[in-house]
Amino acid sequence: MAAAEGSDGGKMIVLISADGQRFELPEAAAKLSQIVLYMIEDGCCYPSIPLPKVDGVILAKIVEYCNKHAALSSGADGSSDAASERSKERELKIFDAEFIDVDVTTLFDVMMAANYLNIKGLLDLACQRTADLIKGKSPEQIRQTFGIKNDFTPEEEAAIRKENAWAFDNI
Amino acid sequence: MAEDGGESRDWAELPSDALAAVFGKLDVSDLLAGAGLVCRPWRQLAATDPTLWRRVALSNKGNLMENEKAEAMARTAVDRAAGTMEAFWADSFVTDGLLLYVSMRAPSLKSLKLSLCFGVSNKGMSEAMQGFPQLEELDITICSLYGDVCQSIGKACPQLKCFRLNNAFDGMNDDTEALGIANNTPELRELQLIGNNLSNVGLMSILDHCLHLESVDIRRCNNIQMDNALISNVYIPVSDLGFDLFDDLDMVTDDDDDDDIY
Repeated sequence: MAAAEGSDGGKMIVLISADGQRFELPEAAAKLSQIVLYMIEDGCCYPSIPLPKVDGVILAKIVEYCNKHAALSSGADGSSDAASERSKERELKIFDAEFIDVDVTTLFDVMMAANYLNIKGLLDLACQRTADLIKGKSPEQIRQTFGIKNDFTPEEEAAIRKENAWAFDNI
Repeated sequence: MAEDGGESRDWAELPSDALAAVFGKLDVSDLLAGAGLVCRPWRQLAATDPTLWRRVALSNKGNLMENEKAEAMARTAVDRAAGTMEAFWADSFVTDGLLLYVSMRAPSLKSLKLSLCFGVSNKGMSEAMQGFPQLEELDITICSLYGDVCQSIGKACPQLKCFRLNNAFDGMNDDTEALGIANNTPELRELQLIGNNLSNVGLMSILDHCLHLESVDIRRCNNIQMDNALISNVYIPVSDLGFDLFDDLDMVTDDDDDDDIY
């Protein structure tokens, strides 16, 4: 059976989310996911690739990321001069910054999906955003930011304070 | 929390590879005093993954009151690295005692940077260097380290490729440092000796012995005379002469456009 073709003649891949939504994207974009790449190489990508661990809302975001990055990756449009490379890099940087400026729930889902789909650039972006939210905060401020419960027993808490006295003197 | 569905997203139970990737982007003080004390799983990872402590950069942020805290953090980081530390960069809180502590526990160290470390003595430095046989990069900027320490460093670190010894106040008024470098660091690629008192003899000796040298920065080395022997031996990019040279010359330009400035 012939593969579907996109408007530019390239192959298209169909991803199906956990809640049954269909997402069609160019093969070059889909291949940014290492897991999808393997499925394409193994020929098990037609008529579609089911992704039972990713729901539609998040998969829509992932597809948006992959489309943008594939379209602006170096050499995608045949141009290779340094000035256009730099401007594409700048555009991607701005796109990434806006893309990852989300609440922590979405950030968590994006990170888990990027981890599962093995999309290195996106996982790195999500980890960096998480790290940026942690920087300069006390343990209690970090718990509040991410909704994490303090699960230390009073004894453990006392031991931690004793071991790390220097960490608590400003809190 | 329950209303926004956040309950199902348990940041405490993030897969350890993803959490390690996040922790890997934090600096040592955020790991030790923040993320590593949030909950059991996070504490567990921070305490048991030595790869998080390969590169340790710590500062007392110019506050002497923070010295004790910075030193305690440095010791904890060294312990947690469990012998795998590759880079240790620190500033004025470092003492002989701390440097020896690192020296005895970081045999794989490849990069050491010390700035404004007046608490480190020549003797302490020479002793500590014995523990860093794999060191490739050493940066000493505005410390009180000079003289024979260069010989000790070279002998202890045969693989040293990049050495920066930038003094502001101290230093021998002779070629002790230059000859220590010339005779003991055969693998050197990059040398920076800003403000050193070496003479042409010392510099020529370095150029004769360190055959892999790719760059030598001798700004503010006021005992160096650019004679023919030196000029035939070195290639000096114009940018390296830059500011210091022009600072000394009262530059007057011929540009007509400048007239209306005065």
